[in-house]
Amino acid sequence: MRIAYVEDNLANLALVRRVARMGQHEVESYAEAEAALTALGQNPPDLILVDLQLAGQMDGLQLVSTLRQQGVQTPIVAVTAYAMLGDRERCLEAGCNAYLPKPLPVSELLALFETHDTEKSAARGERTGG
Amino acid sequence: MSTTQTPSVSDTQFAQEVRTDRLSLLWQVTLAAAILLIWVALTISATHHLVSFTWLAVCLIVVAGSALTGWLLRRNFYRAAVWCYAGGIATAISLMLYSPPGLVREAMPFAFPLLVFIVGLLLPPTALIWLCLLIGLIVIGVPALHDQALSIGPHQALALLFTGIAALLTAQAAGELYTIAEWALSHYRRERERKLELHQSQIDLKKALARAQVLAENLEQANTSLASTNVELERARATAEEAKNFRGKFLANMSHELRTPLNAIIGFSETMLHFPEMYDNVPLPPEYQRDMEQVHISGQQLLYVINDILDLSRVDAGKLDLQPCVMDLEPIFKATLTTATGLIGDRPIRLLRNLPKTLPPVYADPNRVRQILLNLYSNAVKFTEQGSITLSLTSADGDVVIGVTDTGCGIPPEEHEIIFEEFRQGRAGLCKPSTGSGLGLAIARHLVTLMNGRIWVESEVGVGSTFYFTLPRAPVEEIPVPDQRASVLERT
Repeated sequence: MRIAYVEDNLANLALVRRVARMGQHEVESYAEAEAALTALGQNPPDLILVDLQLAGQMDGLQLVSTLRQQGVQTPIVAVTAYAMLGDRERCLEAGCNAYLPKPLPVSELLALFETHDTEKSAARGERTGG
Repeated sequence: MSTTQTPSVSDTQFAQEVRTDRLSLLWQVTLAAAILLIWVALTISATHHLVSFTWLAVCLIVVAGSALTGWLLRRNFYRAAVWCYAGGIATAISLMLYSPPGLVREAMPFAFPLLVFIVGLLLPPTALIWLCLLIGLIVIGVPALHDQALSIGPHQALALLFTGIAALLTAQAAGELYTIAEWALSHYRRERERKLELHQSQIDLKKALARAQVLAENLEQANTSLASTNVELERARATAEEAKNFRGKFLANMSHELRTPLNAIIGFSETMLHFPEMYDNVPLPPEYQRDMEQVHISGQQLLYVINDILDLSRVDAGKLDLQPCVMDLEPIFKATLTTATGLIGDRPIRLLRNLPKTLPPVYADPNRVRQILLNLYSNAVKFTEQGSITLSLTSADGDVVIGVTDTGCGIPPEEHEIIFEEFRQGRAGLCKPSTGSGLGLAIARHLVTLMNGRIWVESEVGVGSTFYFTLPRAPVEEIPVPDQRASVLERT
């Protein structure tokens, strides 16, 4: 499965890469929303993880709503250290499918990858079957 | 006329005053007339020698009578004054009647009806009877005295008849006149009183108006100062709001900045400890593993501290939004015990339930009740090496008392209060060095208080502790809504 992680913190990126190794998932990363927007629009991955605070001008939520406006259907999960009241609602409103506050329990991250991988495989199976 | 209202005493007095005025005018006019007559008589007699002594005497008697009347009136002897006046006139007429038969003797009795008329106006009807008797005596008696023989002439009879008629008419007319006058007077007085009242009202109104104006001015001043106070208040409120916003922003940033590095600390320690698959199945050397466990626990600890501080700051800012509802305790208890099982790990601690068969519904916020219970359980687990942790529930008055009893090291009585204070921990030296922010019980106390409950501890050192807290029972008629239960389960 191809996972795109839009994140400017190298330690967190390394952690996700580490966890992704378990399911042999491929992780491509973007430190800025602008770079992610071009790349993800052209070649959407199977799952997108987005941090809210990014290096560029655009923040994570702007990226998500722009992607949704462009018609990108890929599941997006907000992964953020913004864990105050209302942050979850803000993320879901912008077009995220789920919200995971940091620090992420590794087991939850694993479960997330597994779920989407299964879904992806099922979708592929359907496509090849049909 | 009898239908008109009876005049009041003051009206009668007023009428009396008016009569006194009339009499006063009467005697003065009479006196003046008599004096004028004397002067005329004297003038005429000086040239023609026609006026007799009798005429002068008559005039003098009238003068004396009138003067005496005035004197009596001034001393407020009204009745006597009237009689004196009448007496003077009657005496004067009598004197003229005391003469040989002739024109004067025949004409003079006809002056009496006039006297009757005057007296009738000034005195009550009974007085007229007496006057009429006196006049009768004079008219008949005086000529007879002069002639030394009693004989009643047609003139005398006619004069007496006229006098009688005059008396009757006057009594009748005077009665009506008085009634009318008194009626008019009473109305006049009432009118005057009303006028006075009106005047007084006008004065009062003017005063009230002036007062209202002063009040209005004061009010305006008050309004002005109130407006300026409001502006200041608004400014203070804005400042406070700004400070609050700043504080909120600060807390959000602090939380974010601490969570970001914690993500890597907790995450990597976890992957290294529990997921060797992520490291190509190269196991961590045992010593590394022990140290890494410390890193993981410390990271978790730091996370709890951050969460607790955020909770406390929300309580302080009044932002901790409670959503109390009629709730069922069973799912909360179940979830708490599951979490506690995880906290205990492999220590020999049994989790016991000492609960009634059916749990009464309470009125509280399910998430906060869960938080309180978790804090109490993590506390109990932290300080208990072995034995049991028992959950109990009893009902008292309108409250439900929930207890968490451990078989830990116990808390000395002097520390029963301070353990609920922020950043305070008891039992220094008695138990193993305790971890935790020291905020768990403080938060529990805040939450319980916000839900109108109480929290306290009963403990014996070496035996164990029981933490109790109360929650208000739900009103009987309300039935717990199934939705609430579902949402609680979901959040758990």
